[in-house]
Amino acid sequence: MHNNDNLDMDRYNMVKQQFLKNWMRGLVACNPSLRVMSIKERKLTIKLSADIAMAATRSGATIWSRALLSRATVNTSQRLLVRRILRKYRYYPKNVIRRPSKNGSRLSKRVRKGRKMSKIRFLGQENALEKRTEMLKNLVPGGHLMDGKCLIEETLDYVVHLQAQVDAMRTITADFISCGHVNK
Amino acid sequence: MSSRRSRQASVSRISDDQIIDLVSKLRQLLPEIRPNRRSDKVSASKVLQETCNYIRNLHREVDDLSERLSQLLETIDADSPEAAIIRSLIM
Repeated sequence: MHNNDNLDMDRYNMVKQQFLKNWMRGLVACNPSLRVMSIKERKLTIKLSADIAMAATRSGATIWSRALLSRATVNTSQRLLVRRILRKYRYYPKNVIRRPSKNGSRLSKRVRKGRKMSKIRFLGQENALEKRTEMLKNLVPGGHLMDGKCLIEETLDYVVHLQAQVDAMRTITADFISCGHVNK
Repeated sequence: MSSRRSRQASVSRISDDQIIDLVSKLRQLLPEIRPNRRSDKVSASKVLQETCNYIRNLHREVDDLSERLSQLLETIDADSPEAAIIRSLIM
């Protein structure tokens, strides 16, 4: 574990850096309107940019990132934000896994199979492990599309990126505060 | 009958070897699980629960930080040092 530490830290810092760039790019794209928004709206915009920025660092290589991006493209105004942040990547969220639609045949076979299997499990025979797995699936974006092994791998990836996101946001907020910006 | 059960199990449940391997990686990420527990005896259920709690905490923190940042940006003016920070980060 120790000889991997430096490598992991470098990679982690790179993820943080990339997240910050993406996030700032997103906020700049909203710039004129940011100032006139209500606090609540601005918070949602900040949060949305942060989530898109986090997903973008993965460039669609994971299910969770594609699920997050597809969640964001539901709304037209949000779609612009996604476009802006992903601008430098070749990947555009056209192939993301769509939300459950009435037209079920559009989904890939694997997705349909995964969903069917999770329905079968709800026969009242759940043990603690299955309950917790279900909880985890609710927390990880796109979790219900994953089966056991995939879920754990995606969770690992997602947690690392979440940590980077939180770290980066904390740093920015702290910078703001330390700059002497105390309102009261 | 056992083959049918194992086929269903392989889709919806994780095999033991995979659990041990991946769970150990997950444990390294989670701050709460004490490192002095014997690695093969930690239940997957406990790890999953810790993971869920951890993810929930991280979500909450992102939410709080966004709220905080939004409030800080509320009173920004064009010439303040905070605006300069934003500008320098963007360029």
